[in-house]
Amino acid sequence: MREPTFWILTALASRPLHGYGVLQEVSRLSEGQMRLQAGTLYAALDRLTAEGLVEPDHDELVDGRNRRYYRLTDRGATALDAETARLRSNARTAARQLSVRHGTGRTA
Amino acid sequence: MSGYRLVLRAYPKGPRREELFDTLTASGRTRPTPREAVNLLRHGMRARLGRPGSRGVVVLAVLVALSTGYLSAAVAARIGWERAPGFPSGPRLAAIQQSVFPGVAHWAERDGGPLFIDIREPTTADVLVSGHDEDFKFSTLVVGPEGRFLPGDYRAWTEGAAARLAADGWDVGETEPMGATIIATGELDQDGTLLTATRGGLVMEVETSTAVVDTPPGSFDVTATLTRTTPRWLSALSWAAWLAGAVLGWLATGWVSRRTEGAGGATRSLTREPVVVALVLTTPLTLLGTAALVADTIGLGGAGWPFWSMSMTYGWGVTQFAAVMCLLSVLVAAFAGRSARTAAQRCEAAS
Repeated sequence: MREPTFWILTALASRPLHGYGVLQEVSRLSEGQMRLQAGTLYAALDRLTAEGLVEPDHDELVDGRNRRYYRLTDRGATALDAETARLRSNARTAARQLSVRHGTGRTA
Repeated sequence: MSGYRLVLRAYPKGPRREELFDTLTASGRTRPTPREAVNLLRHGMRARLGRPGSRGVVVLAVLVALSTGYLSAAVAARIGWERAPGFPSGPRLAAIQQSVFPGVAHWAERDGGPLFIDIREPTTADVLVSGHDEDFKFSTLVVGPEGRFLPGDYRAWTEGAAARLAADGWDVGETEPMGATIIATGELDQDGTLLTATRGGLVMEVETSTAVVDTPPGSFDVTATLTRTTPRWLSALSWAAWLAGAVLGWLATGWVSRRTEGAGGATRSLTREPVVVALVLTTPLTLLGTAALVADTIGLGGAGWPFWSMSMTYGWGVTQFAAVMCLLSVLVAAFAGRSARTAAQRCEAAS
């Protein structure tokens, strides 16, 4: 899973959001490290919708304009779960290797 | 039209444009930054292909765009050559002849039609049916002294010719020794020279030889062959047509793809497979032709063949077949496919 995909799924994990909401949430959650372009966001939303990880939730009329909200599907939550486990495992491995280097861990 | 609205036209018509406009302007901005504009153009053109989960459609669209770009450039260049300056004639030609062959009677003869050589001399209809003969190339203007031969030493004469041409403003290149290669030693058995000079859209190759049959002792055979280089405006026209053709090919692929996105397997197959077959056949011609166009544009051409010649000679049959395959794909999409907007409206109604 690429990083933008990871952050979009993460942003949608707790509640449905519209496009601008996703951009803001990704920026907030990643502490400014991930700044998505709107074109990239909607291309990813289309792809994730086609893959069944995300789906439109509802539309709201704001200032005469239709605003579409997206939500994470159960399949999307499972994919995010799997990715989180993978990242956690990777981070644990890296930490173990570093502790050997710094002499604070056991050698095999 | 606001900056965003203009850039968002890269996306297909539909609610996505409004959705993006809403998202983009939510922060208070009214114009895209250059980075944002490039991002929107890129993803908008991708959105025009539909099928967001498919990478195959992008590969297909790139290959189609390369082919249609090349074909458009070829058509534009072919038409453009009709407006290109012709070979020198009258006093201009006489001045060139005087510069190469001073003080002797001379002749000049074009070896083909006004633009091209095709020994069959086909009509436009003949060309459309069966393409060009395999020796199809740009015609040349050959100039020589009456009686073909000049008395004296060819090396000294070539040096003199080079000096005269340089004095007349020609950009004169190195003189190359010419002759047969002795197989046993690999050495050149020199019996002539080749001098190349360029000026004002013309390339002149002056060739001398003592190996021509019936060359009198102490004399040498000599001819000067003039070819035209592609004018800069014609290269620019070709590339503009390439760009327009590539964009049209991309949009046509997108139209077929989105129109058949929700269609059954047979319709999708009948729109995809013919184009794949067409591309397998024509992509080598496209790549060779485009490489020749690049070479011609940056001045590495000069081989004397139009950049599209392969497609009009050996490749004409497959080019015609590929055109029929692409037409089939478009017709299937037109009749069996469903408008993307109609499909979207039905989805909206269903939800």
